[in-house]
Amino acid sequence: MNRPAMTLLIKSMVIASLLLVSVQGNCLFSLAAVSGPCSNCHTMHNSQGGQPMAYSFSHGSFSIDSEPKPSLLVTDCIGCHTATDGSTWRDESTGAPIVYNTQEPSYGATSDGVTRQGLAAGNFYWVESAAGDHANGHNILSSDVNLSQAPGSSSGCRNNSCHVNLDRPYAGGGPLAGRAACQGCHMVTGHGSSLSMTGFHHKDDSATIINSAEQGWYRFLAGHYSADGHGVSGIKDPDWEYDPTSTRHNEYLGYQGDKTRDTLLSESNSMTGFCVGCHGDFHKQDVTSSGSSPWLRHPSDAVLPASGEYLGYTEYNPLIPVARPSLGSVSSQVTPGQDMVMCLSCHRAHASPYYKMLRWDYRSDSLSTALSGCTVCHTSKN
Amino acid sequence: MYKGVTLLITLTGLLILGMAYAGTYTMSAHGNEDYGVKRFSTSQYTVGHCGHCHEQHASIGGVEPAPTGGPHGYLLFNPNFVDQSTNFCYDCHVQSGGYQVDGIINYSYSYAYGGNDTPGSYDFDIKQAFSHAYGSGSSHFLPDIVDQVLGKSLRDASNTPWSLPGSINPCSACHNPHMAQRNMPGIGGELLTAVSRPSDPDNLWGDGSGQRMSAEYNYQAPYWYNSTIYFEPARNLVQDGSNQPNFVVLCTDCHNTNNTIYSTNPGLPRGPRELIQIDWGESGDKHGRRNGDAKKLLAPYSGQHTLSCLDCHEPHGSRTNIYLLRTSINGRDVSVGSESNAHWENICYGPCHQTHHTPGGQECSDCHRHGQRF
Repeated sequence: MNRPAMTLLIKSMVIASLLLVSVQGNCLFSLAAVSGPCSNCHTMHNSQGGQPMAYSFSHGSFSIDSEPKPSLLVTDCIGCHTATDGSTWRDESTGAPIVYNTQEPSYGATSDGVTRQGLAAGNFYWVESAAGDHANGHNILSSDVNLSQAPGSSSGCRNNSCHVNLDRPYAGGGPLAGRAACQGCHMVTGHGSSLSMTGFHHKDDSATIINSAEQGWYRFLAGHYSADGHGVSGIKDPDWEYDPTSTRHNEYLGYQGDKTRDTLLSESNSMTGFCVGCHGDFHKQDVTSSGSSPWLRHPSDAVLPASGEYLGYTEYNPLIPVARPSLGSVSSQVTPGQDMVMCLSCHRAHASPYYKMLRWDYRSDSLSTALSGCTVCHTSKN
Repeated sequence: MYKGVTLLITLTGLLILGMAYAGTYTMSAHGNEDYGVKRFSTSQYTVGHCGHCHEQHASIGGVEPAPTGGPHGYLLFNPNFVDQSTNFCYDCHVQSGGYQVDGIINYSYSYAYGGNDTPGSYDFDIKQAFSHAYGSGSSHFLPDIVDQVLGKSLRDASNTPWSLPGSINPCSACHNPHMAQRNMPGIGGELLTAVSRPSDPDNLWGDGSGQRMSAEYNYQAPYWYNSTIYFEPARNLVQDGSNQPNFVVLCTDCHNTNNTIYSTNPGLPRGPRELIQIDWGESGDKHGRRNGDAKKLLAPYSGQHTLSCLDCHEPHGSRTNIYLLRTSINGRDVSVGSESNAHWENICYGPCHQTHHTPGGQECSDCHRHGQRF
């Protein structure tokens, strides 16, 4: 290739790149989970005009941080996904879903017509704020005053492990070193494989069904023991259930198979399978009765019986979601005999306004309120 | 006008739908928000809360609330059923020492619905009612229900087959714990009932007017204890059975001529053996629908009547008598501690019949007992 031709080619590539950046919101990862200018999240030198660009969130407020962050980030998970009011549910500049409002959230689903519960996983306001309660959610920033370790027994690592206490960094080596808090569940940096090293935030999650490492898994919920080969599959509501209805909600994958063991994610990719990584005993079936009724604990990923009172739950209630045996599209229907009760049928993954991070006020002084979530499935118990 | 009719029809339809889908738990004794279940170790939950009986994870705050011992079937806080003396239901249905706040008193039928408050004649709670051994009363034998009813195929009195799950509590054969109501006597309006037919466990039995003694039989209620004015079961003037469930249908789901029950009850006289099959139909017992050419009857009986099983028998246990026989029948004390003729005469002559029709002859039970047709 002669020099004029080479010059033309280079100019063309530069122009094409600039056009792409311009049209697609200034980001080459236009189909990634995040979009926008790289500078929304990264700073090359943590310096702009001589001032630090990085910032931190601590004790309810943001502050400039002169210390650079890993991966050239301007802040950490909490920094991006926190708002200091009660109404912001999506960050205006980055589009990040807000999981921690320092004021009581005024948006999201409600079980009593008054109390809003934030986005699909709830909001850390109810566990981390001064008005919060450690029993209302996952304690990711500080030790739980009620529990010394995750209830239900971890399925794997126990000592000095994320499985036991999310607030304590993993002290071991390798790619898990230092992992804690949000990254105890959300594998934003993956584990070891070439796929993961660029981070799940940059994966293309534009498809309806998210079910692979190439897509960053559902909400970046991936197993690390077997690298990126296993994670959670699901369908993400476009606004993370900001205002869910029977036709607008997340879809969760369940697993109808054997649950006599607690290592399930690798074979199921189910939401419940992920939860049992830390809460294994809360999931297993009664092996002494051949895995059948009677259950010893409330079942998870158990098929709603196609009989009796369970036949009354037919319209999807986002307050009490069910898991599907396979993922297709968002459905307003619940099919007893096929769909499953799961961990998130009763609990919010982050935190809720209610005792034990439940999706309704199970501890209410009003019996009808206390049972209002139970009776969505147990329709004769109202 | 048309719009008004349409609105009326619509509202009526909505009302009917609402009734059809109305739940039953919060209307039950266990689910009542005033006097329902309340375990002392789960006091954070309101009265009637499912968490008092069912532990979703056998762990609250990382610790299992009392009683400990790990998870149990049906998420219950203790084993569902072990034996005659160890039963989940007893954990609360006991006057003291149980897990229910303030305990629960369930008097014998003779006391609660017959008025016999003579000390020593009645039980205070369910655990006590099921604790009687031979020589000191008698009790319905739950292991036989577990072995011969649960998970088995039986037939009701009309020969219709039915079955119950094999792993439920034997008490649940007659009491649906999520439906059974607190049937205190004297309550007006709709009859509250604690029982469900074993053949129809998902519905209450006796709450509808067509499921009461008056609906099917020419029934005469016995006198209230020591009264010749008031009648069982509510100490009022109602005497046609319209205020009590049809216990005959309830009991004969099991005790009929289509089922053979081999009782291993250690309190059964001459047991273990097959129980006499009960035929309460027109070709069966005289105390049933068979024309009994009734004679020498004591008030309030006169003429042909069909008795309720509970006119003579306790459903759970009898404090002093064999065969679950009540300690008072038709308002009079009854003592049947053995099968001696003196004891049979005590039950026949005392409360219901005037004198022996063939003095000096055979014993009462030679002719007059279940299955003899005389």
